[in-house]
Amino acid sequence: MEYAWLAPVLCAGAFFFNVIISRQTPWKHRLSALVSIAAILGAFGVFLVVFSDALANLLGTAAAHGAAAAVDDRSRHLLFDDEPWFQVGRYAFQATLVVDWLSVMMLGVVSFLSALIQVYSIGYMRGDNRFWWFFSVMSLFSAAMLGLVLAGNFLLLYVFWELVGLCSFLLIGFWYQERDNAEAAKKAFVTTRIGDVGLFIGLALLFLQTGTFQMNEIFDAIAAGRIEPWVVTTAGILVFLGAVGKSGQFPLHVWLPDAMAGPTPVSALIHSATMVAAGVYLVGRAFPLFAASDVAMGFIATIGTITAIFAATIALTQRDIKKILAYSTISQLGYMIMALGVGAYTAGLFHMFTHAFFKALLFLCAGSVIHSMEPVLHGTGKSPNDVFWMGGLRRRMPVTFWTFVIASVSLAGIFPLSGFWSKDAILAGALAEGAWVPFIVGVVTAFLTAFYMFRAIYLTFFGEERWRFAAAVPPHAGLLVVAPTAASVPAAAGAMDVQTRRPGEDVPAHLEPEVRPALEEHAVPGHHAEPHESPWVMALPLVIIAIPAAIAGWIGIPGLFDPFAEAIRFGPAHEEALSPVVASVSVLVALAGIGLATVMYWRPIIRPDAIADSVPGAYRTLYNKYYFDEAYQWLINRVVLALAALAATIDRKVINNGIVDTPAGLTGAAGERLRYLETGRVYQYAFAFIVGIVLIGLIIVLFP
Amino acid sequence: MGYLSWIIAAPFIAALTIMALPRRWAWSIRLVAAAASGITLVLSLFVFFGYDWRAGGFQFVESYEWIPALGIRLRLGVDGISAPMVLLTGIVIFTGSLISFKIRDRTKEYYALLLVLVSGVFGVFESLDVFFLFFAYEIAVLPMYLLIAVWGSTRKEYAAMKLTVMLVAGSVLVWIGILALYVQTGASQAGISSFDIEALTNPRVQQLFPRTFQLVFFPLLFIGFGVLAAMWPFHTWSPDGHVAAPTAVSMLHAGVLMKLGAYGCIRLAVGVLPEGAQAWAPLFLAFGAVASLYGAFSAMAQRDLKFVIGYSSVSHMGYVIIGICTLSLVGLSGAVFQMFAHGIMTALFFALVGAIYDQAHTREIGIFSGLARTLPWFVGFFAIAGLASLGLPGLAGFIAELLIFLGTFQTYPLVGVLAVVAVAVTATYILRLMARAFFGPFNPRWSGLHDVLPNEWVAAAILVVTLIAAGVYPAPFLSMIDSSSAPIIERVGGVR
Amino acid sequence: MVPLEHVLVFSAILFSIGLYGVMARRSAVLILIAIELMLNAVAVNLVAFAAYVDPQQFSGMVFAVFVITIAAAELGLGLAIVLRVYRMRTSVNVDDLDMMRW
Repeated sequence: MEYAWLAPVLCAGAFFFNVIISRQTPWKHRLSALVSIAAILGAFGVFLVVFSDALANLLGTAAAHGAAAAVDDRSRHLLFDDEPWFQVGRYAFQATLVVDWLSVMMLGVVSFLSALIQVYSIGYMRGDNRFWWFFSVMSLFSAAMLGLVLAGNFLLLYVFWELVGLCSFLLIGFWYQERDNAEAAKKAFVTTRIGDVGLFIGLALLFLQTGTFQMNEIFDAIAAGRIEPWVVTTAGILVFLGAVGKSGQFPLHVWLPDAMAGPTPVSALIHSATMVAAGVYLVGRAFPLFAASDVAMGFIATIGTITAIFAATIALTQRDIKKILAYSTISQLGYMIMALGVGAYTAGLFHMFTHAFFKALLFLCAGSVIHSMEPVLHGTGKSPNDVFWMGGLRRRMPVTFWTFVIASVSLAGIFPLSGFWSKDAILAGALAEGAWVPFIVGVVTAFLTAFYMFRAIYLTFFGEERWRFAAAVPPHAGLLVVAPTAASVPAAAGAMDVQTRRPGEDVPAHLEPEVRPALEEHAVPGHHAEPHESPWVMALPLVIIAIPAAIAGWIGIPGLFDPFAEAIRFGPAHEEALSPVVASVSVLVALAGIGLATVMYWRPIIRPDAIADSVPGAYRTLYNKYYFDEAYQWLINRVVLALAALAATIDRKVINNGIVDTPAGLTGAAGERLRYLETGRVYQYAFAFIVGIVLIGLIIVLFP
Repeated sequence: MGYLSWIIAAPFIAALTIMALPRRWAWSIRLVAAAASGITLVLSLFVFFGYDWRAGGFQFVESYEWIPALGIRLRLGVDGISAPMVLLTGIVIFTGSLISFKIRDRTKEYYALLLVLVSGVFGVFESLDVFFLFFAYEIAVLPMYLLIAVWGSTRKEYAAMKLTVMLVAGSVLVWIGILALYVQTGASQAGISSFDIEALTNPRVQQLFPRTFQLVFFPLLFIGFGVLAAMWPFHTWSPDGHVAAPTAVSMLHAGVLMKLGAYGCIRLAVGVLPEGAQAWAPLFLAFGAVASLYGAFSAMAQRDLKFVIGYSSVSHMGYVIIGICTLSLVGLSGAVFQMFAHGIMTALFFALVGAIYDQAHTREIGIFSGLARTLPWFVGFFAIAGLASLGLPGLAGFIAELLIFLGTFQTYPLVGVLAVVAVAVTATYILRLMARAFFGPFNPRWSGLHDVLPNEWVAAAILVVTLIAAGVYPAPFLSMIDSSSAPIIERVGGVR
Repeated sequence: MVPLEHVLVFSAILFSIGLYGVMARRSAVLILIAIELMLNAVAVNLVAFAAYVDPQQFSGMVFAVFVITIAAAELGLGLAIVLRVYRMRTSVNVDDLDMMRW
């Protein structure tokens, strides 16, 4: 267990090795991938050692002190390693390593998923000319996240926190040649940075009160009531702002969907175990701080609740498969934050744990789909992410299909897959705490989640093979409510353009016979690429992750087998049996969502565009994500940039031209006038001398 | 002669040697300059690592008679505040000499002036005698005029004149303050007028400075030196000067010369006139806070790469002023560390901007696009400088800003909030710049640009390694700075 | 011994004549001569004070010697300049020498 620090150090070492040495070698791509994967596997090995140590420790204490003692010991640190870092005056800043069950869990999730995602990336990133750089940054990313979960000092945590942000910046902007990707990367960094302002100020407040960044000392001080309550509340809310930024909570969620600009394995990593998990992890890690203030807890619960439902509604209308997943992530993160906010500590972190697996799997599946759609849609001007141009991939990509379904069912919370257990824990927790609004929102969100996930499944894997006629439709995008079908796509000669079709208009029935042959003719002109299953380096990680995605929840079955709640908890353990009412409500609601998706997108009994037509304003608002991006853009253009222009103008016009150049100009102007005193007549100068001397003499004589 | 006098003498001797060399031996001139600055770098490393922070105080002290009738001695020594500054100067002049290899116009005079200037800078940091400090200060400031007016670009005469006039005006204030100190020490019955810094901070001598005296002369010294530290609102020489100056001069100027000002503020203004500091600190703290936010916003609106960095220097020096004016140990130590960190970071910035400007003949951010594809080293180095500037942990700037902010929160929490917000603004403009110029589709117009040259690579690598080393393991710096900040804070009676 | 006042009056007259010369003359050479007169008046003053006020010390005399030396140097330089000016402008009238005004 003493070697836990090796995990981040190995990955950081891989980064530096790749950047300094690998890139100089002729086989830099292979070497860097090899080194990175070896390092992350090493980190996973470290996790296994730490985990077995922790287990042995647990069993050992239980044997030595009896069950009661073990219960107390388990919530304490398994390892506390305190190294001095630097010192200023009487303040010491330490590099503290903490291993407790929370960090052990995160260590496992991060290294496991990171390793598989890197293996998957070998296939996904093949042929990219900066392959080596991708793997180098992935290593640094893992290093930063592993360091984050092991940090026992808030300053150290902040260090890794920022490094995680940096790596996500580099990876989101990996394909920086597209202007949009560079913008998305910048947006991610700056938005999270805004949250970090709050985090930093909150930490500074705590530092002022306690004179340290050590977590245990700060928590002790809070527990002992040595910090004034208003400071605890303020600091709690401010620290939480950091999590709002990192975990994409309302209203700083805007960077997360744009972060899809990065390569899909990056999205998988960001959305499961690393970047966004960091925020939830922080709330879990600093829970004693939040728990000490009802106001802070209420704030957290409110933000989480808003985010959960808000993001789920946006996910209903999105067409980009990665954006659907992105909003799903935001919504699920809101779920976790909400759980933590109502005080269901174990449930929130348990959901983070299970969610990491199935969300990583979903992204990797999406990546697999996109990877195979790319050559198919190449040259048509259609995005390979657009589910409206997919369809019928079920038979062509069976591994991807089945793993995607497993992950979706798990996410939807269907018994007995892992998502069911964690979601149920959250709902039960909310109910137990008497938090009715979060409970109801949780149930509604569960319904929406099941609906949009199955919408994505039906559009992607079922129905017609719509990619065949993507080329026949002009590339400009209108507001498309319903996926095109062979019936609705016109010939290139075009009786009418489906893209510009407004809701409510239909393809005239009489056109269909003429359209069909034209379609066949125009289908995928120029090349005959067809979607196919991804290579084994990509498919294998899918299958491997599918296992924990399905069953990871089984370590948290209340009343039956619940080691998770035993290990990771806040305060005394309280046994809660599975509540049949809550469980059946959540499953029924999820099934209802699936059913609705089925009748809308598989067996079109209810037409989606009919619904959209009935509430066009609402549909547009959802499709445009409540216009948050527009609002922020307005804020940046009209406020931030205006302030910048104002400052620059004041600097030039007022300070430089006014305060600085004016005296200089006056000096020059005075010289301009005074130079006429220089007549060039020597005797006049001499006369001036004498007058001067006489005057001085007079002054001396008259005023002695 | 000890280490310290050799550090001052080596560039000066090199300057004389260069003047003696024939004009057409351009490469010998460059090599002499590089060798001499290399020697000073090695010597300053010796001084830095040889300084024993446990013992504290002034070390490596040397003392020579100079003008005994006026009580002027040539006393040299470094403490924990000046040792990092000496190291900073050594690093910047060495890298600056490397970068300047491409100067073809009047190479001889250029290097001679540059080296004389550096002698002056070392003189200020090492001097224990106020008279010699001022003497060296003027030597450091005046060659700047010629360096900018002759080898500069973009309104160089205007910038050079403005810079010189403002700095000289500042030094007039400083000179008045110094003479006042000198006369005041002689005013007591047994007193002997003294320029000795150690004597001036002696508790018995300190009693000679009554409160009114301190109140009158503290602002003179602080503003006088503050002009050189680009303290708002006396900063406008700095963006223009940096933009106009040739690459190595910008490096030295932003990297080292501005630190002379801050160093003077700490050493003479706050160090010798503690009561004045207590009374005036809130005002100057406000100036610093304004500078940090305002500089950051102004930087965001700029279109010229060098102007962005110039305003970012104003913003970062604002942090230094804030740190000093918190009059707390943590803040002051942070300010000194920030002087070091910003010196290295901004030298790196200017070195890189010079590398690109010499090829592209433009610094317009909007014109560049997608440079990351063809200039990976350039973009990599620039990104590291940018990240240091926005306070990324692991690089030196983070530790410095952390300490300054903690010191500010201890004393003026509201200003601390503003300063942290300024960091977020900094992140915005740095990333905007990088996203605009380095990312995006590659503009084929720039396909002729080559990546950093070997000499530039070595210089940038030295600076980057320093940034990372000081950011990951700041303990040696901080214990050193701490040991010498503590007595100052003790005199001021600030927060420890 | 001649009273001090006599010497001072003599010196004052000498100085005034020189002053008149500087103001009234237009020829550079004559102006230089007038300046010489004024300097000599000062030298006389210095010697007189040295002899009458503090005979033990020689500082006045030393100053006088300095004044004479400097006067010689100044005259040398001045005449050289006048000569150059004459070569260029064929005139030593100071009214013509105003190209540096404004």
